[in-house]
Amino acid sequence: MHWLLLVLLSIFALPDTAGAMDAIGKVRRERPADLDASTTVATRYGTLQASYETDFPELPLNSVHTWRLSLQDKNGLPVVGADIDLTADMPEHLHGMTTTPLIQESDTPGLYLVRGMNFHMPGYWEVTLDISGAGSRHLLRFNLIVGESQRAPEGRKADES
Amino acid sequence: MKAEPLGSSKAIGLLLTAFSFCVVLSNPSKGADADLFDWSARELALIQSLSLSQLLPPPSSPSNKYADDPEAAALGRAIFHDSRFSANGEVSCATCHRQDYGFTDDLPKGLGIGLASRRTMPIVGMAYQKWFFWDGRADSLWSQTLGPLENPVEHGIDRHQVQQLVLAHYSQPYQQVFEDDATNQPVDQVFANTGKALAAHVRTLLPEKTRFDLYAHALQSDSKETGILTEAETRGLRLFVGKAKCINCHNGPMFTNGEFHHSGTPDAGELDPGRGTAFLELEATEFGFFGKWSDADPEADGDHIRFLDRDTRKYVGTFKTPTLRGASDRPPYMHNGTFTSLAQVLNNYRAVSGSTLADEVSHGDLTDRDLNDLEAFLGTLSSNSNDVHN
Repeated sequence: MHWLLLVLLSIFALPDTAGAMDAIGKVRRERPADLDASTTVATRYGTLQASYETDFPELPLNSVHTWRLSLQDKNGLPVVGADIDLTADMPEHLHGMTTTPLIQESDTPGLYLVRGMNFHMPGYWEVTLDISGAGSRHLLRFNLIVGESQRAPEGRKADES
Repeated sequence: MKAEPLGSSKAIGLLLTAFSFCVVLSNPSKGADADLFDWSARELALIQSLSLSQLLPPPSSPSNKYADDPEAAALGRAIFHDSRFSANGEVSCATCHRQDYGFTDDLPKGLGIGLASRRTMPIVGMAYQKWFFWDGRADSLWSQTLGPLENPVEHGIDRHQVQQLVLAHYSQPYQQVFEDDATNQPVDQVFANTGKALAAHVRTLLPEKTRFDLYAHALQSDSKETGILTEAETRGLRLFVGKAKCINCHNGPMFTNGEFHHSGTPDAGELDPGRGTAFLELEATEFGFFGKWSDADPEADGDHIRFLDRDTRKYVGTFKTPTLRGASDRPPYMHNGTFTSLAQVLNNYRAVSGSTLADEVSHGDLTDRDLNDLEAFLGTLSSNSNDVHN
């Protein structure tokens, strides 16, 4: 609902780094009750759409992993050569990840690999993409909930120990 | 333009807070027991995420190809307990990492040849960690084990003495594991291999099932035998995964994220930069994950090191989150051993919550009863707790 406002806010208020203590000037925000945790997001007029996948059924907690990030323009065509700046933050804790991921364009047009993602706390995360080189500058945001599903670890039954 | 949405979301937040207050206030009349065991889906998921049943087998250790070799572990175990590996012949790894005390000691700061600068870390579950020492200055377990050997106030020997001791006392098992005679190898290689054997042993130190794990299991099973925990312990668990937010850092089956945080621990004027100086040491050591003696594939392994955020400014004064398993059995607490009881630790977290001492620490408004309940819950993470409550 406040998505556009969030984006506008983001331009002014986004942190430039993500880490253990980068809290100066930030405002603590609680998790919204109706969080949209879609893995595909788009700009308001659909000029740019982004989606991500991982190798895991759920986003892993405390595990360094890779995102496969796809970018499409409003005609559904892959966006190549985008300059992507990614930050991951926990609005409830005023800090982000303890890694600085590397974004590499893959051989598949529109597919980017984000290596070094690591969510070290459970709960509400925001991953923001600041993308230029796709016609103009775009800001896109994924909302994530990490580590709160009841799914058992992969390859293991929950009652095993 | 910016003020309005913030204002309205704040108003919604206030309304929600007011609403939840009403819910809380209306509850006591319903009888405490029924509510106490009524977990939300989110709480249930978080409780299960802490249970030992969720602990996978230890991840591989790409930088140590002997990590899961039982013969290497046997050699490592022998050296772990061998006090000949010290300047005065009286200090072994087991001197400070006492098996009868949760693999740590009962002192504020470790005491080897001299007084160490920090508290002895518990070493159960190290196989699951990415960073080692309170400040994470080692990026692999085998690399960590070498630090105390050459530290003048711990074992106080050097790698040449280690090679001599291995030759004199462990020549045959060494040759068996590493398929070469220690006399033929460079001193640094023997030193690194000694660390790899020690690491193989430490990897076998795994947590035991506790009363909390039995409770988590009961919640999942049909039995729903919730009496495994007392009411105070159950309230403590609810606080742990909820209002008190302990689970933010103490998460997963080992009750730690293995990362570095400001805890607001009083330092009595002894400034300790913690993680802030670790990045230099990570890069300087020849025994690191990407170093000469590592078995890792530098292209494929070590993403947690490759993509590490090395912004010293952010991490000055942070220390590694320790496991809470067994914590109630092994005071004192924190990196400088400054607290002699869990009650003091919990009190301090309440005291610094939301202050500039620990910007990251926000534990809600905890009452005295909350602190008692949290302490009671922490007691259920000790394997001795099985005997205490029957």
